[in-house]
This record gives sequence, structure tokens and C-alpha cells, in this order.
Amino acid sequence: MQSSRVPSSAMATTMLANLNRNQQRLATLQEQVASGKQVQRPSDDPSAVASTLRYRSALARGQQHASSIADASRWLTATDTALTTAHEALARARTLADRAMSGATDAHARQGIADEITKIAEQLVQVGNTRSLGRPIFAGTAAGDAFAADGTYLGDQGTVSRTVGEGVHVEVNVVGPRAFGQHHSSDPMQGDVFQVLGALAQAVRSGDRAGVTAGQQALDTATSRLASIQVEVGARTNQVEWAQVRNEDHNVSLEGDLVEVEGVDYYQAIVDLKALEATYEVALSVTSRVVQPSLLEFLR
Amino acid sequence: MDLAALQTTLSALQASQRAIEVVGHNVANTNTPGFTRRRVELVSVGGATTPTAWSRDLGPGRGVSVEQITRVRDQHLEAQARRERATGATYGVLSDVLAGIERALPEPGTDGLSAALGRFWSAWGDLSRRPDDLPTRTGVLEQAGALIGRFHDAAGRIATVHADAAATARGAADEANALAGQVAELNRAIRSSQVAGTNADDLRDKRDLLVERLATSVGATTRAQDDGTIDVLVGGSTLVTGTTVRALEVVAVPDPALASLGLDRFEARWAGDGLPASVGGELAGALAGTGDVVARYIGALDRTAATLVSTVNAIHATGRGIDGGSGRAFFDPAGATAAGLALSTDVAGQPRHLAAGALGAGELDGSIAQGLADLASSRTGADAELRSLVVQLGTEARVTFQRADVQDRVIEQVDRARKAVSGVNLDEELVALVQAQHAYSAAGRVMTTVDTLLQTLISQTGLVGR
Repeated sequence: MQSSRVPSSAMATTMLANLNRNQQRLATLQEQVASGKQVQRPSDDPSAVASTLRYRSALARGQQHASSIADASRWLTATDTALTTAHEALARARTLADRAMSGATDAHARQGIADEITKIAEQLVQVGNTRSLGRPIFAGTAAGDAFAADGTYLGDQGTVSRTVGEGVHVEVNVVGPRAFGQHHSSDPMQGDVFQVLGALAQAVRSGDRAGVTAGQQALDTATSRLASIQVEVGARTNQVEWAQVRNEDHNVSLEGDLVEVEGVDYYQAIVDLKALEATYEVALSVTSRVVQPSLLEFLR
Repeated sequence: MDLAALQTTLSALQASQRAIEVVGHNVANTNTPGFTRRRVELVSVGGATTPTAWSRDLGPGRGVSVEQITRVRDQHLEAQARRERATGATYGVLSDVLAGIERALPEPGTDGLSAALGRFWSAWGDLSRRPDDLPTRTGVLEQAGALIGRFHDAAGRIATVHADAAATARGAADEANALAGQVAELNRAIRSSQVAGTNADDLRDKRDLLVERLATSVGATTRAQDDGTIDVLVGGSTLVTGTTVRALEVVAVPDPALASLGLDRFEARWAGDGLPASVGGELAGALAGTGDVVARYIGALDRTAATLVSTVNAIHATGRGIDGGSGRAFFDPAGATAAGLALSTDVAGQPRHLAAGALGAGELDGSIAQGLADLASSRTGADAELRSLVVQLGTEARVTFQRADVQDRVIEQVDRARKAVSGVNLDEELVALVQAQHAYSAAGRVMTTVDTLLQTLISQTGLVGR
């Protein structure tokens, strides 16, 4: 039967082909272990590569969000600190107004109180022009100072928002007039904090008791306006903190997914490597035994 | 007993000698590639079967004769081997082309396009938070430059793959033409030797080897003719007819799908009449490589670049630079291909012209930059296109590698079957040698005996009266 003939050269060829395949498998495993990655190129595992690319992209986004979160946090903290300072300044102004109303104040004392109130107004302008990392925080999206020396608002109404998660935006700024009041063209007592303080100082200086009373009420309005803005800023700060926790968790789980998809299971790889090496050695020894003997050794 | 008995034993001696020669030839060529073992066909010679007027042949026969020395070869297996080799060569070349394209797009990895895109979007994210910072603006331009560089790189490497495949195609065609010439030469030699009655088996072996290489190069098949020549056919059309030869050539044909790289696809044609040739083997693989495969992937890469250009420009044009100017394109709209991707002249080297803020918003607005950074997660953006390109490439490459692997095993199996028929087994040859040796010794003995008998007859009889 000719199909059972095995010519000498055929055995060698078959052995060589199998040895070669063994070596290829060894080389692949070594490449994987050395690089720590199961997938070196798209053809190794196309769907794993697609997942890897998606995870990597999401991780890059996650890191961007982390930067945004840090920036938002910084901005909101600066705003909160400034508003607290402003609140304290207004409280001091209120005390001064009370003192002016309490009688037993002569013109000289009243002048002193009025000067102090004016100084508080100047201080508030400085607070209004707070900058964080060189950027004014109450000017909206305008560059330059938010307030002029006389309290005129120089900024715009733009919102500054930061993306703290996929599709999640947080408004981080407070526009000047929202915190410090809208400028009123005719009645200073209904205007912004600077107008109020200016009018109050004037009333104190001139002994206008009705004016001082109006000023006290206006200060109360301004204070409660500030307080409600601070509550808003507090809520946004909470939102950002929450976003930070979520972002960190998300990044950690993405990293885990990435390792699972593309990383090598070292234990498995080393076991496979050892098994392949043993197989290779056995194959080599079998080849050497089979290829040698022939009838020549037995004929005279 | 007659003198003819000597002839009978002589024929035995000659047959044994011939058998030993054949064993010697087989053993000498055990490891010669393409060698077909020879076998001696012995046939017994009968006596004269027609009686003459005065005598009849009453003897048992007149010895042995060597009818022919056959090449033990299964033509069906040979044809199958050629077919499988042709298919294997096609897959082999396609595997190389796809592996080359994979190397052109090093994904996944920090050097790849995907990572470069990620860094580009991140730069816009940084700009959205600090729109007035000049170093941040310059950073965006730098990342854009790096991304453009990656696209150019990838396009360039794919062009190299194309060039390699084209060289393979031309090489295969040239080799086929050279081999065809040699086959025609051998045809002539074999035909004349057949007419003269000499043994041309070694020439036939050589010709079979050449035809096998032709099958690998261009997927050739054969048709045997009665005068000992063979016709070699490529795609049903003759390459070699007896001693006449036609030539194949590889011709460049413009292809709009490859226009962005300034490359052509290639086709195989018959040199004389310019008709298309339907080839197989390496040539078919290389032609598919230069045409379909490269076109598919450069097309997908170009689409990714075009998506990048259009999505970025659409948003960027609605924004405003620090200098107040708006309506600017970020990428050059005329360069919406991988090889032609470039920054627009409005923006190149002009960090102040980058539109980070919206038109009508304050100077420090970064909403446009944020919108651009958000393109990273767009389901229809450049990242998504790139991912689907990579998956398509990975799948096609994997399938082709597997097919090539399977085909290698099929070729191994067919070769084993061929060798089982045509290969030399040393043990078998040595047994035949021992048999022939014994036959020779025995025939020699018989000759000695006949000689003694004749001697007795000639010298020892008819002595009466001397």
C-alpha cells in the first residue's frame, strides 16, 4: 500500500515542521511575558484592542476631568473665602451704623465713623477684585479688574463652567453684581453695596438719622444677598467634591479593566512557558532517536 | 540445451545490473528536492510463440528484460500540490501586506494615533481653563503638530507597504517569465529525447520543479501533451506551449482610492496583446495587496482625518481668538486626508489666533476650547472612526494569518502524500539492492553450470573414432 510508505526525507521534514511550530509558540509567549501585555497588535485580539483603546481614551478624559475638578475646587474656595471676608466687612459696617444711630456722637466722632465706612467700601472693592491664579473671579469672562475704584462693575455676565464628569458641568463663578448688588441709577440705597456704603457714610457724616436707618436696612439686604450666594457656592462645592470621589473611583476601575484586558496573567504565562519548554526538549530527543537508524547498520 | 541458454542467463545478469544502477541512482538522490524515485519494470521474455515450418520452441522462456524504468509519480497529487502551493503563496503575501499595515498603525500603544488624539483633546481641555495663557496656547499647536506628524507617518508607512507589494508583484512576474523560458527549453530537450528513445527522467524532474515554482509565483497549471512536452497555463491562458513562450507583465493603473497617496494599483496583463491575465499565487496576493487592501485602509485613514478636520473646524470657526478674530479654520480644509493633513495658515504659528472662547463672550471665556475637548467622547468623531479602522484591520489580519497557517498545514499534508508515493525510502532501496545482488550471483551460478554442460557437450562428446 503506497499510502503507508514513509520515505526517509519525509520524517525529517515533518519533525522539523513540528519543532518550528513549537518554537513559534515559545517566541510568542516570551514576547508576552517580556512586554507584560497579552496583546501586541490588533490581530492578536481585535476586540480586546478595541476595548483597550476605549479604556485608554476614557482614562485620558478622566484625567482631564480631574484637572477640571481641581480647578473648580480652587475657584469655588477662592470665591467662598472672598465672600466670607465681604460678609465680615458688611457686619462691621452694620455695627458702625448702629453706633452712629445710638446718639451721643458728635460731629467729630461721626466723621470718624463715616471715614471708617468709606474704608470698608474700599476694602470691599479689593475683595471684589480678588484674583485666583491671576484671573479675576468676579468679572465673569472679562479680563481686567471686576470693579473700578468707585465700585462700578467693569466685568461681564459670562459664566465660567468646568466639566467635572462626562456631560456634567458645574458653574464655578459668581458674577460681581450677583454678590455685590446691581447698580441703581437714581437711588443709592437700592443699589450695589458700594453705593449703599457711600450713601451711608454721607448720611452718617451729615447726621441724617433717616438716611442711616435706610442704610442699615440696605446693609441687611446686602448681607442676606451675600449669605444666599454663599449657600449657592457651598452647594456647588459639594457637587464638585462628589464629582471628585466619583472621578477617582472611575479612574481606578478603568485602570483595573485595562490591566485585565491587555495585561498578562504572569502565573499562567510562566506555567505555559515551562510546559512548552519541556515539550520542546522531548520533541528534540525524539527527533534525534528517529532520524538516525536505518537498515544500513544491520547489513554487512 | 542450446547456446541460447547463455543468452537467457545473460539477460538475467543485465537486468540485475540495471536494477542495481537504479538503486544507486535513487540512493544518490535521496535528499534531492523534487526527485522522483525510479523503479525497474521487469518482464519475462517468452519464447517464440509462432511455430516455424520445421521447429517449435519447447523451452520455458527466454529470460528477463527491462521493459522500462518508470518515474513513480501520482499526477493527481502533483496537481493538487501545485494548487495548494498557489493558494498558500497568495495568503503568504497578503499576510505580509496586512502585517505591514499593522506596523504602520502601532495600536494599542503610546506611539499610536489614538494616544496622539488623546493628547490633542487634553491640550484643548487645558486651554479651556486658561484661555489667556500663551504657553498653553502654544501647547495646543504643538500637540496638533504631533498628531499631524502621526497621520503623515501612518500614510507614509502604508505607502511603503504598497511599494513592497508592487516590487513583489513585479518580481513574481519576472520570475514567471524566466521560468517559462526554462520550461520551454526543457520541453524541447525532452521531446527530442523521447524521439531518440533516450532516458529523460531527470529532465522531467527538473521541469516539474520549475512548474511547482511557477505555481507558487503565478498559480500556473499544466496540461500534458503526447509528444512529452507540457503546456503551462495561467488563468486558463497558455504561458508555455511546447517551445513557445508568452510573457506576463505588471502594469500600473490609476485608482481614485489611492489618489491621496499619489499611488497606482497594479494589474497583471499578457505582454503581447495587453489582455488582462487572471493570475494566482504570489502575484495575485501582491496585486490584491497593492489594490484592494491598501486602498481599503488608506481610505479608512483618510476618512478619519477628514472627520477630524470637519468636526474640529466646525466648532473652531464659531469661536474667537485673543485678537478678536473669528471664523477661522483650525485645520486646512483642503488637506482632509491622512497624507495632506495640515494646520490652516490662519492658525499655524499663531497661538493668539486659536479660538478658545465663544464669539460675544468675554476675553477669558473657554467654552469653545471645552467643546473641542469634548469631541474626545463623541460617538461619531475621529476617535470612533479610528477604533473601527483598528478593529477591521485586526480582524482581517487575524483571519488572513490563520488561513495562511491552515494552508501551510495543508501543503505539508499534500507534500507528505506526494513523498509517500515518490520519495526514496533507504530501507526499501537497500532491500532491492540485496535482492539484485543475490539474483546476480545466482544468475552467475547458472551461467557457470550451463557453461560446464556445454563444455561437456562440446569437448567430451563425439570422441569416438578419434
